[in-house]
Amino acid sequence: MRKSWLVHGKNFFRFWFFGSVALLAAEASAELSWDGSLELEHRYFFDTDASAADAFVTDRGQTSAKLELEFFRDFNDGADTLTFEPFLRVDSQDDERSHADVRQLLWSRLADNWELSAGLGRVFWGVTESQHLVDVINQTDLVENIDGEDKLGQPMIRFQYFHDLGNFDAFVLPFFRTRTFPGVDSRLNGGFVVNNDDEVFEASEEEKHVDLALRFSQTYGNFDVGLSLFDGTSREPDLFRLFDPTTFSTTPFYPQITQLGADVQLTTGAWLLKLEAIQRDFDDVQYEDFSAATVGAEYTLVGIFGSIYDLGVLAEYSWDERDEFATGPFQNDAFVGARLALNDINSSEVLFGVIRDLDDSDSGSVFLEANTRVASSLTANIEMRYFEAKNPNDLLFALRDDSFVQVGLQYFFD
Amino acid sequence: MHKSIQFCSSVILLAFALTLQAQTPAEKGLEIAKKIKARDLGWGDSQSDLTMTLRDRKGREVVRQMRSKTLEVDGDGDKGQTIFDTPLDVKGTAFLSFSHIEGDDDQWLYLPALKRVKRIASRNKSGPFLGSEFAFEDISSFEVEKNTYAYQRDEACGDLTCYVVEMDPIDKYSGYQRVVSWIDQEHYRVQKIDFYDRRDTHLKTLTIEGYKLYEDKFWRADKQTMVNHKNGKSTVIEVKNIRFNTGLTDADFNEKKLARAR
Repeated sequence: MRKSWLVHGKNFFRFWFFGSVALLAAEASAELSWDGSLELEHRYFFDTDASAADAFVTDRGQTSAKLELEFFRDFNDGADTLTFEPFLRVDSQDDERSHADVRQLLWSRLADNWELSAGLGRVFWGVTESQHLVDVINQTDLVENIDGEDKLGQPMIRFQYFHDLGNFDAFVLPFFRTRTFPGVDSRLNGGFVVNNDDEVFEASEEEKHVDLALRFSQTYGNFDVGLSLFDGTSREPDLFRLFDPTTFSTTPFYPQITQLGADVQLTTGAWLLKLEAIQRDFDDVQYEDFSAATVGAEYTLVGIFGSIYDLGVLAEYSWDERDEFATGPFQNDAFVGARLALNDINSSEVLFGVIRDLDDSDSGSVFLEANTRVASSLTANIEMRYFEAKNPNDLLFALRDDSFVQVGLQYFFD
Repeated sequence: MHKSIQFCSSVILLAFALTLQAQTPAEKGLEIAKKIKARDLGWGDSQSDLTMTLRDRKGREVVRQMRSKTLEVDGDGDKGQTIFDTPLDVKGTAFLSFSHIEGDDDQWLYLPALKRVKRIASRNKSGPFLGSEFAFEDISSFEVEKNTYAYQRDEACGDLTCYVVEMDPIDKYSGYQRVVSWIDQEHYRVQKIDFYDRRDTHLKTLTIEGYKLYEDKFWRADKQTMVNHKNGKSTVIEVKNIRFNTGLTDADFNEKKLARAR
């Protein structure tokens, strides 16, 4: 499978990256406004990794540095804006996790009732916390974190129209970014090797398939409603189709999908009630069309126990029509979480969550994230993830020895 | 002729005095509140730069810099948008609020790291605004209908004479049992506020200084200092670069456009 250098995933990135550098070098004479942060983090795994593909991974430590920059400039009295957000991570263990990306390199023309953007962009859709079913524009940067919150920059032309009836958002997505996966010599890789550079696409145009997306969103009193339609290459690959049990490796297969999504939030008093639902249809008859949903509630208690602390309590339930054939870990799962804001001058916060598979009481995970400011431009972050699974058919089973705690220091500058 | 005029004026004076006497503390308090609001009508829109300095009991400090835009809304609470510049870890965060005379406010938060706009629950009006000693309800726009009033007395406040008026929030989710305000009689500007919590203990004192006149009509203060007597912490808000008639419209206060706020 020979690809021209320009369309190959990594080379595609180089094209953008060096193009951006050239652009900024040209800007160098002008006044530059850079912000950013540098984070150093260290992970400690509770167990040595027992999974077959990583028999030689016995290191319990993983050290990593992340650099994020942001350049912003506006022109023509703010009518045009340019945003550039490069990203770089260097990892001590995983060559796949050592990676660079352009999170955004986006030109936008802003008018009162419309906005046109072109370049690499980042968009978020949805309301729930435990998973993001309707959020399909950007590819997940899975090597960053197993929670899937980190995303790759997506090439796009986007037109937004702000009307009294609501916000209309249209996307043309001319190039596909493949999901990143932890490498063979890494933890959290699901116990098998993903051949990152040999992806197979259902579309004959491969990454050059032009995807289209539409979204409508509006606020009706206490309700915030979003309806979306996506047609193109699934951001979520099928890792089972081309799985090779002899080598314990797989090649991601990206099918063509049409996905209808809805997200609704009702904000009433101290309550947030949330719903995300999708219907995903496949072009390939080998796949069965399905629907999936997440419903949830969040309640905020102010000044608990006579303190100044705020406590938010969250509960979400996820359902997937495919049940045990679901390609994600959420098919009949409950999430319960709590967010504690200390309201101190260091903006200290703790987020805690438990995910339980309701079909399998031995399967679940626990996470804890805490952060506080330790100096005016320095924050300390702690993250803990614990995975539990006893059934080898469970998607979480491969992570059972990858529970870890991570400590990070992030320095911000401008 | 002359006598009858005298008689008439006496009657008018008497009637006036009687109405004054007949005015209950509640009526007089309400009248003062209405005058505060009336003198601050018609400002349209404004923008300003804010510095919020948080100090804890040990004297440690955090400075938050932000830019604020506000829009006056006829017949309802104001709309406001705040963008944070420091501390750098929250830079780019934007907060949009539509305050309402009745019911909860509408509030959205834009989180730049996630590129996500979140509608947030606003019943937490008694909760601290960004870890400061100001509660959300302290920074919400002043609306006559939000409180009941009781005029207490006249009292000197600095070089001025103030009305002392008790304002009790009607909203049962307010964190205050009562709020006592000092309002100068010359221009109806709030000079000082004592906040009493639900147990009726004196929780906080707000001092407002440096009033300046804008557009020949609207008084705005440079500095607001909130001292919390319970925890020993304080927050100072300094306002700079206040501008009126900056051309903001309703379209600039849209949750869908919050992601482009800079």
